[in-house]
Amino acid sequence: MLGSERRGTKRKLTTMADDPDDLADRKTSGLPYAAERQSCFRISLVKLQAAQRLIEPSLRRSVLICNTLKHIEDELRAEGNLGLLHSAYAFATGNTPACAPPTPIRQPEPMPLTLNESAAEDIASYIEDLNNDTVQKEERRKTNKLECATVNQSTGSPEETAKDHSPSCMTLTNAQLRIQSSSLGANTVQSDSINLDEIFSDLDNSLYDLDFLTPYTANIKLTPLSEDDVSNSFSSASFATHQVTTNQTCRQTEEWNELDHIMEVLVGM
Amino acid sequence: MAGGGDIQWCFSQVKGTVEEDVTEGEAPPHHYLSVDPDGDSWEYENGTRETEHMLPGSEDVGSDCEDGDICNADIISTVEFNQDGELLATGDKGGRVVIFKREPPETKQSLPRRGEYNVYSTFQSHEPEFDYLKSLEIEEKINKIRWLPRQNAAYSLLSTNDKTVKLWKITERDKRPDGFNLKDDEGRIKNPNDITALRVPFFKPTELIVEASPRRVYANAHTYHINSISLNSDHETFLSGDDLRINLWHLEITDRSFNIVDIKPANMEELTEVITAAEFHPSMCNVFVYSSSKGTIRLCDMRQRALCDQHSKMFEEPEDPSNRSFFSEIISSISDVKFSHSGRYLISRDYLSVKVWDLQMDSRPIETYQVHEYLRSKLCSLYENDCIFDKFECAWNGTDSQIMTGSYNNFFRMFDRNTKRDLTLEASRENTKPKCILKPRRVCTGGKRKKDEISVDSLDFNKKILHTAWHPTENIIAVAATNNLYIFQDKDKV
Repeated sequence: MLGSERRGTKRKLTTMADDPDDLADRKTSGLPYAAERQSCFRISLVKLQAAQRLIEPSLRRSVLICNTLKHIEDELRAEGNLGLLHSAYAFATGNTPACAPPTPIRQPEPMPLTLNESAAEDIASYIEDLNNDTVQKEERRKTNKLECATVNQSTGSPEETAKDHSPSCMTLTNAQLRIQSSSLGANTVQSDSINLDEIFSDLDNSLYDLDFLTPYTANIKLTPLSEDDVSNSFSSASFATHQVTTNQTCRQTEEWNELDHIMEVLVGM
Repeated sequence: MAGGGDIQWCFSQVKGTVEEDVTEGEAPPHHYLSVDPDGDSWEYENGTRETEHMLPGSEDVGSDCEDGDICNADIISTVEFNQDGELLATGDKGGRVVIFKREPPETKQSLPRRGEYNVYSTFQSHEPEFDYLKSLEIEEKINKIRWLPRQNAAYSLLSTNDKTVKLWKITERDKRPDGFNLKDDEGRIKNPNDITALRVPFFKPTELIVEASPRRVYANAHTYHINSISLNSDHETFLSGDDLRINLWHLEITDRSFNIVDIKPANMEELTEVITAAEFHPSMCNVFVYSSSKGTIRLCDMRQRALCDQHSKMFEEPEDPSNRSFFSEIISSISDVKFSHSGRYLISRDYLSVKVWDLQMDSRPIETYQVHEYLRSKLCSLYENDCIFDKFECAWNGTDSQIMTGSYNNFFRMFDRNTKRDLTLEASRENTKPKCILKPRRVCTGGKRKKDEISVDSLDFNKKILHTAWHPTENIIAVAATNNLYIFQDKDKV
């Protein structure tokens, strides 16, 4: 990344398109629109959740990233692609990164990090959702999750439960802003998240990345080190253990089979 | 490019720490390198003529750097000429301010004919601080320097970091009192019994000493990071703007300021827009503008009401739907706004272009200049590596006929408003022969790369020119390239 390059060597801009002819056709990089949007979405989430540095992060940068996220979210919602939203949030937020506020972001972790009944219930409702694809159930499930989740930070506030979906990135910014403008509560958030990470560090979630970007089964090459690079540069324990592969070629049926399998394990059948 | 009234720029000087100077494990000494006008040799000149405020490099805070790397603290973060162009101030990430003064040429034949800028004063303006309440460091990086008009023999400037503005006074001393009756030449008190005669003390000329002292400290008024300061044309007040608020100060009063703009929402979750730059009008002391991250510029009149949340005019260009992408908002974020010297126009810099606005027309800019349109297809990568958040500044020339701004790969661009011609030049150590005319550079956007062109993929995005300044009356420009300051001049006058 920037800054670590030796002086004197020209740093090549990583290009996303392998085929130069495509550039003429596409406004942005050579990727299909949806794939690029997905990538942009994940990069935005990672950027927002970067480990807190010693110096205050720039408010302008946070606000711009947040607005970009919101825009993509709105587009995804309008298209009805909620599955993408869930998977992307799960990828990025599953292990409660340092800056995350409490809960509205805590989408149903698709696979249980907490092996308890509420998780099983969540998974069942999550699968139901994917079938039905309704927004209302998502809301209901979110509020369920809110009640289940351990919220003992001073930054948690009742109004967040009542808010609609838009604050998902807003609350991330909110967390940063709260950290910026007042709290020692920030430290509490950090320590909580680290404990969770330690507890679940031995779980390998690589199989559980439900990426429903299935139409694009061809070998789409993202920017060579795009997400890995970004994740690694903001690495915390959570990301290291997560090892999520951006396996674009995963077929939906395989994933459904896995889900079934996991359900069986959980329910004990 | 050349011919017919166009300016030919040529290299004049470069100032900065030299990489070869860095010894293993040590911070580089703070030497200034200047090129001998004859072009035969490089010579080092010592940092400053006075010793009290000189910083030995090894004691700098934040100067730890690895062998061969640019020392972070030396990265120039702001450049500003004073009102007559005789002084050039730079601020860096280490909180230091270095002032260069133009020396008149020694003889009519010496080069450059207009004289060289040499180090005049160096001082530590801001120190790193720690906010204990938030457990966060406050950077000492100098965000902006603004000169005050000269009222007496001393020079004054305002410098700011993220939280605190300071007024510095720079004075010269080239005489000292001598011939005291009660003290001897070394300053020791004399025995009164030894005094047999009276004499009148007098001023004895000494070596020039330049001293900088902080006269005012305007602190504790900003919760967010200060990005702008601007002196009012009344020469009594100034504004300081951070991400969400703009405050008005009186130069003499440090414990109070008036809040004149506040865009902080009651619920921070609803925050979608921040202030990115603010400036007072050059002649109307009641008018100022501020730009936002959403690409709008608001002009406010302080006579209307005390809190200028309602703008008098809003300058915003409607978005071109064919260019819409995820990054449309980010690239529309305005990074700098500058009034023309006449006060009739203003320029705004967003990520890909510079726009000229007529104050009397707020519906759209009167001119738009593309700085590096070839980056539009690379926005996703630039977003990833954070380059899309770079804040480039822009500058007018003295007659408001030309505009200058920076780009990547140490390129900077000049636009002539009359001829509509543009020019791309590079600030690099390879072009440092004096009187060496800078060759225009071209970026190849696709297809076959011609000779001397550079392809977009070969651009070095680590080398960015964010800060530039144009002499108020002459064709002299100062360009900050990371830790080096380049000074270029018009060929005809060199």
